[in-house]
Amino acid sequence: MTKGYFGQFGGQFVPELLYPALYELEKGFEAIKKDKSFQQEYQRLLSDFAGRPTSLYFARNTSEYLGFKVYFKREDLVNGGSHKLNNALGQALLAKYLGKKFIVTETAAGMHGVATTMAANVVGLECKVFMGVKDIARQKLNAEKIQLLGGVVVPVTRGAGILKDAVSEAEVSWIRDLRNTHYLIGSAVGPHPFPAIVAYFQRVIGEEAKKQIFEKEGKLPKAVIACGSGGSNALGIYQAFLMNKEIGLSFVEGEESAAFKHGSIGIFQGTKTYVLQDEFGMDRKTSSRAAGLNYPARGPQLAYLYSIGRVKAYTASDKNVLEAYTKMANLEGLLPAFETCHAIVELFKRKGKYKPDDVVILNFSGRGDKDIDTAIKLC
Amino acid sequence: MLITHLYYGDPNKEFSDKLAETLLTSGSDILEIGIPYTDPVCDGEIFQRACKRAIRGGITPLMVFDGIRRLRERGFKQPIYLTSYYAPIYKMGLERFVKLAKSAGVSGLIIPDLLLEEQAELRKVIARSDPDSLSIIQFATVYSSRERLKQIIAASTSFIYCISLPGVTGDSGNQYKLLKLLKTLKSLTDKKIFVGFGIKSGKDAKEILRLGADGVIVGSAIARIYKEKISSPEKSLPEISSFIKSLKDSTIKRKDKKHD
Repeated sequence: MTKGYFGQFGGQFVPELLYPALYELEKGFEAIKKDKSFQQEYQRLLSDFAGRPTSLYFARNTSEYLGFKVYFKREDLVNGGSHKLNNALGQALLAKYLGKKFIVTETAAGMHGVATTMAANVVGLECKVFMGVKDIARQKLNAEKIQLLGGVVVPVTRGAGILKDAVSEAEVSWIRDLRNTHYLIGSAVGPHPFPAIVAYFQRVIGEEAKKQIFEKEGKLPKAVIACGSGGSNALGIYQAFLMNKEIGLSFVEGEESAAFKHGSIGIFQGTKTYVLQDEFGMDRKTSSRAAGLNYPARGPQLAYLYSIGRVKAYTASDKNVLEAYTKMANLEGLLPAFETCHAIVELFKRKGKYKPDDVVILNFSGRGDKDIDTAIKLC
Repeated sequence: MLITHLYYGDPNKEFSDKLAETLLTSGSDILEIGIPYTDPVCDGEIFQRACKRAIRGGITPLMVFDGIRRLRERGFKQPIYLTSYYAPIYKMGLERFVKLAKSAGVSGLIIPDLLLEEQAELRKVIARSDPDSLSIIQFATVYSSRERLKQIIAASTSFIYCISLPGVTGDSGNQYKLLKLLKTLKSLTDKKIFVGFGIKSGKDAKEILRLGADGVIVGSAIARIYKEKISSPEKSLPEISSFIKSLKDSTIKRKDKKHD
């Protein structure tokens, strides 16, 4: 495999100005993998600050309703309300290891922005969060939370004022001060080594889930379902099950931003991957109500796993997502994030499709407090 | 040397045709024509808006090739470089893109997001016909190490595009780092060094040439003039023409001094 590639996907399609930063990051990433004190500190923060391990919850009511055993990997219980903190803590420590003073990042749903601000705070770095103006309007609570936690929210008006534009703006801010700044990418996207770094810091999800399902059921699941766009929570849980070829790995993207279903291979924000585009590699219109899925590209590793058939892709539409939100609230007393609801929609579609003893794990990636306003308005 | 850049189709192709002609007849030695792109990460606000206006107006890469072809038909012989982010090139297909560029009369490709390490495929496609017919311009930056500069110089078959500051087009920066970069480049190569990003006036241009550059690349400063009159941009052409003439003046005076 060529450096930084997963099959034909990945690479480094960035301006020359970023070359030294990616080089430094790559070296730093290799170093921390073997650095004992780094790993100890990361583990300490994961357990004591983030609250890991998260539980693997047997969803009894859902199981009865669907006719097979359903477990939720409860990433919504991670401090901050989603899996995003796993990666944010790892990268904030990596930034500190590299001697950086500032963190810049972008956020759409706000979950990654909140997680990054928390991580920067606990590690002792300053944090600036770029957020599209449309997303600030949609996710007011999280934008305010970021500021409360000591982060600075920078509204992005460029382009369409959504996630992809916030990514561009964060990158520019990074370019202007590479020496002191780390760009903390929140999903398994962007140029190498970012997809590898994010997957590395998220793999704890799958490692825990695999151990927990053995303890509870003494066997492996038939399927693992996760939602996503870049794919950080999905890769986080899939990695532990990749070698078990009999386990179906299902990925659910937003119908309104479905780069696997409606996109093609192209270049987007530093990487070669599946992206929504026209015949000239532009015009990436997305309209998913789940801000965290409203990204026109998939991560390169996920794209590779999809291209070889190891991961199967499905979609869920905004309409079905709302149904899943209320259904989950009624069935289990849980409020999933709109993003997570995409995976839940796919789970419900499988009613009666497995044997009663079969186990399916759903990665419950985030909690839905942030979406309550929208849900109340629409339900 | 004076190099000027425009995003083709901003706000429409008729204006871009006239603008290109004004730039070339007012003293621009080389022209860079850009393909408007939806996510121009290396560009500051002025060029972001230029891209947005052009795309909203319906410009496609194919129309940019047509524009270049028309300039050639009208007899302009100056080198014309095509600027494009890599996404359109990749999606249109490397073979097709290279063929279109060559037949339109493009001298070289300036791709701001294609590192040396990712150029092999494109190089292979260009080499299939006449490898010298289309150069890929290499970038040097104030962040580049000496080792990296050596790689960049070795890969370069034309001028070296030197980015004056750590930022995006239209930014302002300090020239201390640029001086160091130019000194290093000059000690390593005789290849032409053109400096771009943030050059706003004849004074800036003169200063950068004094630091050792062989030419300056000016883009956002031109778009800044016509964006004030965007509903009838033709009205700004006389002002643009005198701006280019003054820039040209400041690039020539240096040569005169040298000959003294």
